Amino acid sequence: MTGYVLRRLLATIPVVLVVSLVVFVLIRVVPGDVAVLMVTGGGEAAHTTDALAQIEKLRRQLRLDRPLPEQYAVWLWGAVRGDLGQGYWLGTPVAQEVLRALPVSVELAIYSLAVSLIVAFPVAILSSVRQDTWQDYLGRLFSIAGLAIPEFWLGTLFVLLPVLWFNWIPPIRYVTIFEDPGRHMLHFLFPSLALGLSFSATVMRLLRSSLLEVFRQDYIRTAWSKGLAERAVILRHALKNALIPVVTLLGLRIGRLLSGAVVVEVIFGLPGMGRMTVDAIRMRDYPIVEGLVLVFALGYALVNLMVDIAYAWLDPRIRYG
Amino acid sequence: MNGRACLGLGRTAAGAVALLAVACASAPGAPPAPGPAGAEKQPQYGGRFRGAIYGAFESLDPHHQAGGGKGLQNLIVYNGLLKFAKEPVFTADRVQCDLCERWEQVDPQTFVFTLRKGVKWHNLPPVNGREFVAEDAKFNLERQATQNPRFRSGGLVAAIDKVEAPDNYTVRITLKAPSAPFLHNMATGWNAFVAKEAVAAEEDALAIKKYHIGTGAFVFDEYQAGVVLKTVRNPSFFQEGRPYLDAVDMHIIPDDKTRFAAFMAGEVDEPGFFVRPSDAAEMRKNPNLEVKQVFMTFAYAFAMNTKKKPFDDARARRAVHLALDRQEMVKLLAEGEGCINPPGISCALAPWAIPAEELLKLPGYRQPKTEDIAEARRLAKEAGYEGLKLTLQAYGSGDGPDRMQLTAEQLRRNLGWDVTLEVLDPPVLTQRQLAGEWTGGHVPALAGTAEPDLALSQIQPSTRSAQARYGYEDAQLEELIIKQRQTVNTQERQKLLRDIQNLLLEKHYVIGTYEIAAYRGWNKKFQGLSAEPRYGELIRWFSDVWMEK
Repeated sequence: MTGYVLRRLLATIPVVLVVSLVVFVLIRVVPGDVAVLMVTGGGEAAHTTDALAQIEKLRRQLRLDRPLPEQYAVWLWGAVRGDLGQGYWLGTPVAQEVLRALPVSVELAIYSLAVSLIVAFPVAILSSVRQDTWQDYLGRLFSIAGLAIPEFWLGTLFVLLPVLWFNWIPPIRYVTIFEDPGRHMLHFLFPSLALGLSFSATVMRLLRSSLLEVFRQDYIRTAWSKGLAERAVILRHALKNALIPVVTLLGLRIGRLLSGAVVVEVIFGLPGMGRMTVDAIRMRDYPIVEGLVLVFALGYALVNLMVDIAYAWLDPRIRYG
Repeated sequence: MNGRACLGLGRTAAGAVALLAVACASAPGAPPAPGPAGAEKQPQYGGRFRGAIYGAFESLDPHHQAGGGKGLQNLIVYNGLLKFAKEPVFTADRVQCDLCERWEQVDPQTFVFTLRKGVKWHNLPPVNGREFVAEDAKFNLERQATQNPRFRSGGLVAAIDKVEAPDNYTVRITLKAPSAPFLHNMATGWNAFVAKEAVAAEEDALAIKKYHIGTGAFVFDEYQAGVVLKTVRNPSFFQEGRPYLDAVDMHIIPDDKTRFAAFMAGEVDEPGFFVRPSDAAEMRKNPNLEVKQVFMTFAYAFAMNTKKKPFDDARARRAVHLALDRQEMVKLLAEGEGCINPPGISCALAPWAIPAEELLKLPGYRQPKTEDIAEARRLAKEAGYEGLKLTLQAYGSGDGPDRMQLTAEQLRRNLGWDVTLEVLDPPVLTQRQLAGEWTGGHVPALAGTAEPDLALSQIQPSTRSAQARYGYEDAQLEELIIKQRQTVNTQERQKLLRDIQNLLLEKHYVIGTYEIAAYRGWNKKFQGLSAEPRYGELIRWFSDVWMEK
């Protein structure tokens, strides 16, 4: 297993290199670069009447006029030495910006996953055990509703409805856990619910169908025949084997939550990596985008590795040489 | 000329100002003297104002900014030579001293400012509270004039030829030519003075500012990127007894609905950039909220690439001008509350703009549109553009797509053109415009202040940006724009601006559309706030804001 883990970690390097190269090139060939934005404000009123000359000058200052391979080599050399550069707009170190947003996204991911699992597991188990009963129909209705309702719409409701009914809004001014733990946790409650409830529908459907398949296996029939209690059959025998596809899904979800929960982050005012990514792309802040992409690539690779390790724990037949 | 502005615009200004929001509810300026019961309220010390803005700061250096509803609120830590008087808000002539005690116009091109004594920079390293002197003003004005491409406020000092500091409290500014916008440009919030020790070398485009050191009523405390800008009371502010508030925080809440909901629930004390009429109706239901209407000054216009077909033909441009239904735009895009722009100037900038009662009788602006549509179709046919297939471009931000959708629909309906839209990311469209690779569309905002020259400088034919974008050459327009800029006499300047608008109504290089009316709101416990829609104009009056406990 140790060898396998090491080989997987080494294999991450070329993956991250390719991803960083592709993103590096893509963001730079998109028209409307950072120089245009800085000089003209994206078309909004500015006091600059000779934008063309200023844009060229700024491109030279930012070394955007250098050949792409040279720009990439400079960035890569810095990244290898732990220097991801500085953001173009505020001039703050990229690593500092990313490390500021990372805990927010990680927290949101953990809480929303917890909500998903806490909601999905009981519903899926009940639904599968009581197949084709009213409990099952209710569970499936819940999952269809969860799949149909976008998480950002749910998030908007969580903001607007309390204001309309109670003249109260969930916290949307972010504070760290050290500043105000109670407010900090309350701030994460509603976005976690919005993301978690939405994803729980997917987990529920997958787990239910996985459990139904496992229930048909001979060893489960044997367990019933032996007279084991329902709880033991489900939790000790069936559930573990039904979790493999769910673990795969969770791994994908973690990656998506770290990078793509931008709409929920915007609605609830959370300064996470999703929002930072979209802002950085919009502002053409190339160093920030590149730093974030690096983190995402590493994050996905790590999560995939953890999923593979989890497979081995769940199914002893799976062994890695 | 004495130190108090005396360039009043007369009766027409008074009538025009009546259209605009009256500023604050409470008395401006110095706290009222104690009086009998029932007298005006006495300002109280203490409290924290929680503002809301819709986007993160592009830069914390004020000279990197030149517009936008976000990124202005950091200006609260700075002062400039002048500032706008609080009321009325949109009259460019009403300027008064900020860091100066008085000023004198020695001749048409020379101004001498006598600075206040004892003004201190914020007590932050490396400046550590030293006195603000004339050399600091000179540094800032010259800094903005450098050709550093990140300094988007360079246009504010473009009229200046040289700045001298003969002693610690005198600043002598010599202009290249008489300049009507000069005093406005000195008073605007973007012309802010930063401490020279705190800024990095100019050749470094990525100048990192470690401290935002100004002389303002509030001192920079902390900026959490994307979250909040915090400032605290400046105990050494040069106005004795000011500011009243302990702190002003600006929370970044990107989502419009969330920001508005936060305001309605009391999570923040004002709703951000501006509020639409439909949301203002909700605000009015709450007796604890102050609601004021303001007209924006964006000078929204439809612009074209006159180097490319079909808009290289004046008949095609006129056809568009006649076909556009501005009243429908106000109704559908501004929720019925707005005004209609003449070309090149915002309708909210009375008395510079053609008055509405005149404008709405002109072809293109009048209702019903039957005659105009018939003439538009005739012109299009004559120019060979009957049934034209056309692609227009839209800025993919804000209400840009909505405006272009409606414009495209009007052109389809009224001209019979087959119009398709390209909705593009703002910098992408800007780059294409500067490369001449576009056809036409709404420009996001020509201006945004009380000074008409800002919009006109964007469409001045000789400027490289206008040349690249719009492609027209017009010696008469060029001459008029330069002349109005150098004409300080208000009546004469009004006439020139009228000539410009008439010329644009003939040539249609840009086509005026509409202006939106929006609303400002705040919690009534805060006294001294203004209905000015963008803080850049009146941010320095935050020194007078106080909270009723």
